[in-house]
Amino acid sequence: MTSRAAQDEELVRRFVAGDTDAFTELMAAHEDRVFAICMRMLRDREAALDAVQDTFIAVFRKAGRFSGRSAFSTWLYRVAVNTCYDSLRRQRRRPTVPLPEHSDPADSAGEDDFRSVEVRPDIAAALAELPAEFRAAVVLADLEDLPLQEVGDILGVPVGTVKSRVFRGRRLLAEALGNLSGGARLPRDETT
Amino acid sequence: MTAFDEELIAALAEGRLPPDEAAAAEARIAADPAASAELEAQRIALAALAAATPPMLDDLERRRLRASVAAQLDVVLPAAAPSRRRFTFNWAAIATAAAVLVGVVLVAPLLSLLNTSGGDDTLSQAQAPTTQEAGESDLLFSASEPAAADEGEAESAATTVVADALSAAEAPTAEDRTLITAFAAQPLPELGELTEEALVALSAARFQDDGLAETEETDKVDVEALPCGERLAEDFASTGFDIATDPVTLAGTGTRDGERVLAFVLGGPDAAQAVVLRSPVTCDLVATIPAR
Repeated sequence: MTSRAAQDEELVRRFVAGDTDAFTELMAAHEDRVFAICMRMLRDREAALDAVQDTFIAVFRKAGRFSGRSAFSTWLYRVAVNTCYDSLRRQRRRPTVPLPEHSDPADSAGEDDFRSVEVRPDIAAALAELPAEFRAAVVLADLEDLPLQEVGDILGVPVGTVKSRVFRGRRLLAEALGNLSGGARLPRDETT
Repeated sequence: MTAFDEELIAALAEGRLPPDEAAAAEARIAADPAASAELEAQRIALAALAAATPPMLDDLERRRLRASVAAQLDVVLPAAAPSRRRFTFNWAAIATAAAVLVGVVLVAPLLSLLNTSGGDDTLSQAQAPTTQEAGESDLLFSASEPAAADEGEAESAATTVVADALSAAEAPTAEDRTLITAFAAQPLPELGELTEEALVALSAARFQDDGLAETEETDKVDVEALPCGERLAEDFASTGFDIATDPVTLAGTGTRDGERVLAFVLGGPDAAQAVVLRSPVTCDLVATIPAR
């Protein structure tokens, strides 16, 4: 068990036993990473903040159900990812176009000029084009650098499924970034 | 089915192979245009991901976040009265009941703790009940909560199931108590004898329509907060639904061959729905009407 995991376990134990300081310590220790995950999943700061808020409220409510079979962080990130899925589902019902994190002034170039240059959307925009389950796998494995087994635990899928989602997610990401060389044509899998 | 080795390509792109194996893999992949394209895509994506800067909370957002967590708890916890709409499960009541199990008295000091406008000094002196005490008080609270007149029958049915669950469980664990308590806090519709015909009718009823989903309490589908929530993942898989995106509704309680059951409906109004019956005591699967 890592030092962080051991600390978390002790904080959860203290919190469930009635030490409210422990919850604040848990939140302080994890809020940045939970925000990063939600921001990358949702690509909208307000939506991400809402998701982080909902995540910690859920954790506060359910702390007594945490069994310690997995690391606290695994459980926390699972709640966070599920909260983000909920948010994405709501976004689909009420579609909006989120502003990019750092938007540049509008380009006055005409359509022909636009077509003549390589379009390189930012990584956040490219991630947003991935199906949610692929995006979650790529975010957790490649951006948060979590072990595949832990990603599987968070997403509730076997490691093999995580590997497949990460692989295909990267492929879709590369396509979304528009950077593939002209001759490279990726074969398509029908399965998801 | 791909014609190349995804694991090998991923390992090569991630730089996980020893130099000699990497060279051999490069040569083999170079001979296959499809594999080469996959390798290029993996490398492009990994390079872009590696260059991405992590989103960070700024100080204002951090303060807002902590304050809003405190404020939300302040709003949610006293709102114990359930307000069912149609057959939609009352997430707020479930969450509230679960929160109470952890310990309602924990909230006040936490709110102060998270409140950035001051008042921190009282926090370290706060005394909170143990989980066991909180759980017991919650069970008592739930049992004594008066039922609305038009929900009396449903509440009675729910209470019966809860009583069954409590009597069947010789030594309920804390998790069992949470589920049972949460269940008791929610007056569920009584669906009667769930024959095949009734299940077909239930699967044809429309659940989680968009109009209801506009509200936070009905839109917040937290599968794990449901009784038998951990087992529902199997039901999503067996009926072809996606636990990440498709809704689930606890439609009510009923009987199946004389056994009390919980009836879950998977899927929303835009698609076919499946009905799953599970025992409220063991969470074992009793029956399924698959989506069509």
